[in-house]
Order: sequence, then C-alpha cells, then structure tokens
Amino acid sequence: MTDFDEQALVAQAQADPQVFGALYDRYFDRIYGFIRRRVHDQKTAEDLTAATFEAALRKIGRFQWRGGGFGAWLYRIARNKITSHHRKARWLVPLSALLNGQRQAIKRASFTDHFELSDQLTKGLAALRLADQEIIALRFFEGLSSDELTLVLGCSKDNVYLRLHRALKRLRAYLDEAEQDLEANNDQE
Amino acid sequence: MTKNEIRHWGQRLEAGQSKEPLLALAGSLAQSRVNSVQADKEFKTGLRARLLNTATPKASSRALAPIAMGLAVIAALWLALRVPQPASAAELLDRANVAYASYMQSGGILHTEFVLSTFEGRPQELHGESWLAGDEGSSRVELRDSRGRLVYFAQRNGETLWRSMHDLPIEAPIEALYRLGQDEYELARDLYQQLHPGLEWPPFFGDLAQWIELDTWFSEQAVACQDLYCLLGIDKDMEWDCQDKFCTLPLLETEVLLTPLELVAQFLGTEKLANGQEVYVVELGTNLIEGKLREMKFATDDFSLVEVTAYSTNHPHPIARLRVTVREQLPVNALSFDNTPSSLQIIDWAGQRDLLQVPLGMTNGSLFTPLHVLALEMPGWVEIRFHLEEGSPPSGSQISGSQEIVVSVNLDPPLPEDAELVIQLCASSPQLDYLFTFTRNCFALGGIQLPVATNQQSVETSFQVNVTEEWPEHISLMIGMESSEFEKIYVITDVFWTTQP
Repeated sequence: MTDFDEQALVAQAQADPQVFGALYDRYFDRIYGFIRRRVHDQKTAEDLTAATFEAALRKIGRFQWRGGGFGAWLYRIARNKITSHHRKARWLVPLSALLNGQRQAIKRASFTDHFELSDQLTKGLAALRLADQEIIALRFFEGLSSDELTLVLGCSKDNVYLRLHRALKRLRAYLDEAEQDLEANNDQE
Repeated sequence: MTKNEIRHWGQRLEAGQSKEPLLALAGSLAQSRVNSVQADKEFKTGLRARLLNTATPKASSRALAPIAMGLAVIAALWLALRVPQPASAAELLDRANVAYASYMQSGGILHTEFVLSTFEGRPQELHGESWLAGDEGSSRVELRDSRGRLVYFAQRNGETLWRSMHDLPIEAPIEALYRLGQDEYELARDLYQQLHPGLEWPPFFGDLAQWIELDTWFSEQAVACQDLYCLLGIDKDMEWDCQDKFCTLPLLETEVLLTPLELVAQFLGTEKLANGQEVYVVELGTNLIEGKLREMKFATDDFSLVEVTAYSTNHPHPIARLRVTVREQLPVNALSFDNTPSSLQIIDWAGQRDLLQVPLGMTNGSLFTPLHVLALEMPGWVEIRFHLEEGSPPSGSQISGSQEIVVSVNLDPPLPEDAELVIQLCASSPQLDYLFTFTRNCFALGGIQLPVATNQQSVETSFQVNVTEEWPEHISLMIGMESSEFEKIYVITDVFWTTQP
C-alpha cells in the first residue's frame, strides 16, 4: 500500500469508522509488537494496544496527514500509553504490594529483550539512558524512518539526527571501553 | 556539532554509509533481527470487533485498574490543590503544597475526608472530601471553607476532568470549567521541551514552572515511599540507592543528564496519634538551600498517608497541614458521578462579598489550559507591570488608554500543520464587567482561535475593549497553541501587548 493509498484509506475512515478496520489490520501487529517489547506481560500489552487503537479511532476525525503518516501517529499514541503506564507503575505501586514481594511488578522491560543482539551490544544498550535506548530501538529495531521519528518523538528531524548521533556515540564509547577491558584481561592471562 | 554537520551526518545515515564508526554501528544495529511477537488471535479479533461495533469506545484499563484508582484520587487532589491560580484563595491552596498517598483496590467508592490547614497570612482551614468510584473512571473532589461553602470542585468522568478555575481574582465569578484530557501530564512535558529547547527533560529545579509541579509531586511521593524501604531495611532491586538511612533519587528519571534536584527523606521514628493510630514519621526535604520540608506520617499498618505538614526551611512554623481520613466501601450509589453541578458557589476569601452562584456549561468542549497564564496587573491608569508567572517577562510590553488592544504573538516555527493559536483575554474589577469584542471569530468568553501556517512567524490580532468607566484592575491573557492530535499547547516566545493610539 502506498502512502497515497493509505492517505485515501484514512480519509475514508474519517468519514466512516467501519473503514478503520483496514487500518487496524494493517498496523495491529506492528503496534502490538512495539508495545509488547516494551512491557513485561501480555495482559498489559493487550491493554495498552487496546487503548492505543481506541484513542486512534476516537481521534481519527482530527488526524491530518503529515510526513510520518498514519503509522507514525499510531506509534506516537502507543508510545504515550507506554510512557504513561511505566510512570504510573513506577510511582504508584502500593507500599504493601512491594513489601509483599511484588517488586517485579514495576520493573521496566528492557528495550533489548526481544532482539537478537550480541552480548556486548545488549549490555551496551542496557547501559544507555532510556531515551537513548528508545531512539535506537525505534530507528533500528522497529524500523521507523526519520520522518516517522519526528512525529513519534515530537521533535524536528535535526533533533532526531542529533539524538541518534549522541545515542550511538555513547553506545560506541561503551563498546570501545568494553573491548579495551577485554583486551586488558586477555593480556593479563 | 553544528546544525549543518548534523544534517550532513543524517544524510550519510540515510544513505547507508558505513565508513565512519558511528554509521557502521548504525548499520549493524539495523541488521539486528527482531524476534516475532504474536498477539493472541482471540484478542486481536475481539478488539477489532469491539472497536468497530462501539460507537463511543471507552479506554481499556484492565491492568491499570489498581494504580488508576490511586492516580485518579491523587490527580484530582493535585489539581484541586496545586493548579496555578493568581487569586488569593489559589495562593493559599498552592502554599498548602500537600501530598497524598492512599491506595484502594476493592470495589465500591473510596471516600476520603481531609482537613487542610494553612498558617501563613490568614490562618485558614479547608475541609475536603474526595470520592473515587469503583469503576476507576470517576472521581470528585470538593473543598469547603470553615463555613461550609464550596470553594473548589473537580470531577473526573472517564477521560474528562472538570474543575473550577480561578484565573480571575477570586472575588470575580468563576466563568468556566476546564476540561482536560488524560494527557495533561504529557502536555506539561511537551510544553516544557518546547519552551526550553536543548534542555533535557526532566528540567532542572530552577526551571520548574507551576505546570510541571505534578512531576515533582510524583517524585516526592516515590522518594517518600522508597525511603521507607531503606529505613525499614527492606532490600530492593529497583532504581534508587539506599545511603545510610536515606534514599536518594534524582528528580524523576535517573537518566537525567543535568545535576538534578535530589529529594531526601529522613525517618524520624514512629509516633502514636491522639486517636491511638501508630504512624511512621518521615521528613522529606530537598538539597536546595531554600526549600520546603514536609513531615509525612504513614500508618504503620497499611502505609497509607495520614498527615502531611509542610514547612519552609526559613520558616519554623508549619505552612500547611493536611490530615487524611479514608473510609472504604461506601455503597456504589453513594454518589452519582454522572453530572457536573449546574452551578458553583464561589466565595471571596476576605469574606467581604456574598456567595455567588455561577452557572456552568458555557464552555463545554472547550479546551484550555491554565498552565500558561500571562497575567497583566494594572495598578494605575498607565503604569503597567507585565507579569509572566515562573518565567521571564516578554521582551516588550506597553499599554495606553486606548480601547483597541492589539496582541502580537511571535511564534516559533515549524508549527503543527493544523495548529491554531488560542488567545483568551479576561478582565475584571470589583465594580465592572468588561466586554471584549473580537474582530475575528469569537471563541468562548473573550477568546479567539486563529489557524496559523506551519512557517508562520507571528500573529497579530486586535480586541475592542468596551470600557465604561475605568480600566480593569486585572487583565489576564492566556495564549496557547492547539493541534488536533493531542490537544497540546505549544510554544509562545514573545507576547507584545500594545494599544493603538
């Protein structure tokens, strides 16, 4: 489906909500996968996916086509839902629940849990700030274009590149350091 | 890196070049395989059917239920007590600076009563009640003064939050309720980032404006809770560190680059209240020289918050105190959340004016935020003081006695394609009402919405003010930017307030 086709489909869905089903079919797996890789359990992923598509259906009448397209818009909604979920979970777990050993309930899913990466890369990514992890995951693992990222992250394209550059630089630094440590250990042996 | 360098780097990235180390790393990352995640088929088809068969879909929040319930009360209370309001009552509430933590996971209605005492200026005592429905989506907060008069009201129905507003002096009638979506927190974040480009989120404490105090508040809650674990010797595998008896946590996210505000809590011991209830006493403070301290008392049996007393570091006496009583399991029908009241009762805090009945409903559906309020204070005929809350004053502002007011807004493109500039102007004095005649489409009360182009640099619009006797004592100007997707408020860089000769 081309951008033009999708644009037409979105326009139809704005007039007739039943057409939304086609957009749902097109994006469900990507959005669900995106969410599922960011939360720990299936039920939460399902809730957030449902909330994402419900919000999209509710607001589609006000959606206006932009460079990133409908998919990026969905990603942005999903991202907001995930962020909100993590924030609430982090701040609002009852003390009693934590004291009863339910601490894992608020542990954040790693961005790298569902990707086949080398051990070093996994460790390197895990050592990054969450914002760095996120932009790397969105760009390279979820495959979002820079145009889509501008919409999802709500920043300019220059800013996307700047953030990507910084994130990669930090990751590179970690990997270089790890490599040096490894070499030093090998020399000692 | 300069902007040009970044752009060129982006072009090389898009072209798939791999000669530089970072681009090579990018290339190897892009080749990483994503493990397939399949959704449950029944869920996928069920959700599709539900979406297409539901005329007015409701948000799903099954897994979020317990925390959503807590959040609703907390959010409602925060909104009731922390919303920036230039009025005296609002200042009073704002100084109270309370925190609240109580969790409820059973059905029925959670009913909380609280007493808020303030000691600065005129001692005041407010009696509050909140209700939280078992269906998670409905909550209500009411604040009354010592004579039982309603001074604040907030109600959440599903995704809609109604609350009374006080952007006019409190002795003027409340003219509208704000209706906010669920994304108000996100709105604050985006607004901050737009207003402070280049700074990391979360902000450094010195940049905190009123509209991000929610963040502070949440972090304080978290630290207070986390500190208890440290104090009680409970091991944890989370993101904070126990140092001695204290828990330290950077403001909000641990990954912040800037030196953050740190909130430190100290366990003072246990105490028995007059009613026999045993509580943990925790003092919560910041690493700022001049800051606020809070003494929080948590019930030893269920850790619910019983009392919060706020102090200033340079003020030995309490600023405000909040006592909380929670009663669970009221009948489901104990309170109807279906309708907002037909009017609000607003009183003057100085007690000099009679109670006012204020009809509501004029602004149904309007989306305005009080988060960005520019208040003009006009003590005399010509001398004007332009006051921008929690920020820098605009670069130019002047006003003369003319009745034609021109508002010029400098924008910061690129703007969203569907952006609309929203301007609302309010004026009042004890004796007079002011009528603003807008030269373009009128929006709500004394407001206007103007479409703007993505690359538009400025907007100029005019208001005809019919002043019968004298200039109003207070004028407030509220300017924001809406776009269709998330109803967010965007940047306003400069506001020039002039009048035509």
